[in-house]
Amino acid sequence: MAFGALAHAERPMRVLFVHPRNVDGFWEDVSSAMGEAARQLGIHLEVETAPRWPTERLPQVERWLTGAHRPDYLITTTNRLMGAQEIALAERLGVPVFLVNAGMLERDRSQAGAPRERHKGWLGEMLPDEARAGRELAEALLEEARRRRLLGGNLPVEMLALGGQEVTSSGVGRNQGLLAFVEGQSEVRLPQVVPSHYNPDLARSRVRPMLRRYPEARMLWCASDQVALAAWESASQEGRSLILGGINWHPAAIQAVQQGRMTATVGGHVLEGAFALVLLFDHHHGVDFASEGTVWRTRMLVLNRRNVDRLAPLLVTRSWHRLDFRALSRVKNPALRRHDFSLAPFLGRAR
Amino acid sequence: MKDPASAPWERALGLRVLLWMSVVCALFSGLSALVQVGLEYRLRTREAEQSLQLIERSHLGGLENSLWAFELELTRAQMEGVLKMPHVAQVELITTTGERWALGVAPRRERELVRRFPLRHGDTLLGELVVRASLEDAYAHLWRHVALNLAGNAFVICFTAAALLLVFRRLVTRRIERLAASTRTLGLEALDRPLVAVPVRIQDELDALAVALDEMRKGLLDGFRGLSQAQDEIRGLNGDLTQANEALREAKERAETASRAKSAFLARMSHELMTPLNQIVLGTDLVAETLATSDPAAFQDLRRVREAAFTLKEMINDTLDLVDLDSGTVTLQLVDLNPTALLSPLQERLRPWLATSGNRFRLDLAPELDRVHLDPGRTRQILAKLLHNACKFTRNGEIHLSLQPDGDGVRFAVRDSGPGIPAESLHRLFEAFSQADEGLTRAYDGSGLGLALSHHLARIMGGRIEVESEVGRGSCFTLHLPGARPSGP
Repeated sequence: MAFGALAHAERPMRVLFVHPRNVDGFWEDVSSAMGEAARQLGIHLEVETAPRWPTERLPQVERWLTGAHRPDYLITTTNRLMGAQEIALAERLGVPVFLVNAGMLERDRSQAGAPRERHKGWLGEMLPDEARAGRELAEALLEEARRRRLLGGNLPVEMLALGGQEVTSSGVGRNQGLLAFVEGQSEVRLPQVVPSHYNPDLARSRVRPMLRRYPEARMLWCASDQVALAAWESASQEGRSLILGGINWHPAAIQAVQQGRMTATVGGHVLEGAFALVLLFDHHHGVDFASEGTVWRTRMLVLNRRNVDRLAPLLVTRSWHRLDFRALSRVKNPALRRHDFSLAPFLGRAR
Repeated sequence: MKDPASAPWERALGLRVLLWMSVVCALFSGLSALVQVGLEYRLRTREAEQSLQLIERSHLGGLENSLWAFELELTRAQMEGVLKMPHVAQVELITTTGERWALGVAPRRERELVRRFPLRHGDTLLGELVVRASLEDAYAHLWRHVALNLAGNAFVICFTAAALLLVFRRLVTRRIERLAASTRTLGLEALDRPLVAVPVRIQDELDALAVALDEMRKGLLDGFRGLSQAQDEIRGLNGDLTQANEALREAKERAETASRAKSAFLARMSHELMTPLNQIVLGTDLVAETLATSDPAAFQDLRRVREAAFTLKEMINDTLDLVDLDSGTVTLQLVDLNPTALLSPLQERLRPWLATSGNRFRLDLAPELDRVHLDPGRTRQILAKLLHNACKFTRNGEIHLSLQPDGDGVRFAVRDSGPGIPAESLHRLFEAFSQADEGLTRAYDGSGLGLALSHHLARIMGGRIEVESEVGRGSCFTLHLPGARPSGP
């Protein structure tokens, strides 16, 4: 690899980022943050959307990896159980791989093992701690309920949930975090987790009957911000005021938190692609992060009334240029002993 | 009256039998069609019910899960699945959260089978699935089936009826008509000619009927012949009977004439006897007055003569009475009177009889009987006969007369302690000129007319005399007089 690094010293480091089909603008945000990081680090970044069907995806990825602009690194997401095969493909073609955002499900994990175990070209992965995000969102909602003095009665307060997709690691993880949190709580009762499949339209149609089935419900936990915003609309039409929160740091959700329509939005994993670029930049320039670990977990940050006003100007407009990605690189900052991607201090240093 | 030979269709037995048979067949056919409809309907209904049961087993769980998870698209798809089940016409979902969806078209109310399935998740009621199965197809099928069935049955009945009509005509009606024609010509003058339709060999009931009719003809013929003979015999017998009746009438007239002559003779002779007898008695009394003190022995003889004359006079009186009774000229004089007044004259007459026979007399009158209603003369006449007889046949004993009430009448009883009467003589006691013992008649004087006369008198008064007696222990004569108690106060 050192040879590779020297061989490419004259030209900028090339990275290909392949993301799934865009649904709610999340991957655009991820791509734009990565673009700013690449700009600051001098990386040539190509961003591609993977074909919709798995059978088309592998041949397409192979074409990208063998073309004239063959990348030095591949940053990709796993989707529809294709992770292990894609890693194997990249390894066969000699392109190191880094996974972001969406982790492999258990079946693939048992096939592929951990990074750099069976597949040496699989350098590492950076995934959001979904369970923690789910739990922290629930905590934030409960804290708001406590602030509004809704707790303390004879009966626990009812919390409803619009869960994510049960077949994605994010949906499963977020739901698990929520359930784990509620299980230990006597003040909250969670009668049902209703699947939303991250679909705002679906959420919109389900909230109304949900609220009628549970007329006492005061809190609504949503697996994504878009779902939370749609749910807010339906609840308002029903004349119900709910303590509401979502995940993703969607700009509209951040504004809703600012305006008090939503209580909290949990996010930060939008920066994972950019952080992965920092790690690969360092790897490319001889500083391997393997000594710190190959599996990175992003602890997401809760935006609520306490911090939203401070961070909203940066996050609503996606002003990534105000962030200093170079400050995260150990190559650029030889004094750094470890890579620290903690969100609060990183965002706090925004220009 | 209709001529039996006319209007052949009215009297056509075969046609009527077939008509009835067709009616009965049509009724049975209709009935069987109804039963078939019922069974078919049950079958179709059961199919629809099974379809509904299948929905309960196969669809409800999925519906409950999708409704629980608010998977509304899935819920709708599942409802469409339910709608595709056999017989299902409409599926309606009413949720507890206020939604109401209906797929399909509701069938007519009277032709639907409705099943309501509550949808639950655990203890939570999510809503109700209302499935309406239509029986329209079942009804259409039923009517088609019934119409075809009835048409088929009608064809079979008509065809069978026509065939049976031909067979019936050949086997039955034509032969009956021949038999009827033959029987119609059968008159008294034709009884000696055999019926034309009589078969040589009996094959069925009609043959048996023809043979029976012919035998009846023969029986009638014999009967008529016997009847003529009997009529002749009866005419002969009637003539004999008329002659016999005439002879009888003449004999009766002769007997009545003889009886009247006998009565007239007896009456005349009695009167003729009574006059010299009265003179004998009167003469004897005159002689007795002179001899009573001068010649006591002659006086005793004369007294016996007088007693004999008295007995004779009594016999003549009795004979005259019997003659009166026979001629039916006796009339009764009924009066109300005190029993003492009735019996006092009797006691006067009784005194010399008691003195002669040495008997004691005892009289018992029931205290509640203060009056009686009867003919006193005739009653005394009967009682005097009975008491006189008692005195005659009892020596140094007791004579007892009692009067007791007896229903609406009274009962006189004369009891003595005399020799009694043998049982074999009791039945002759009331016959004229009869005494119980011929020996006694000689020992005790008397004509034997007294009891016969008393018996006649008692019957004329509507009563009767009964006797009880035992040899050596005395006799008791009881006179029953019904109606002898006055009805008014």
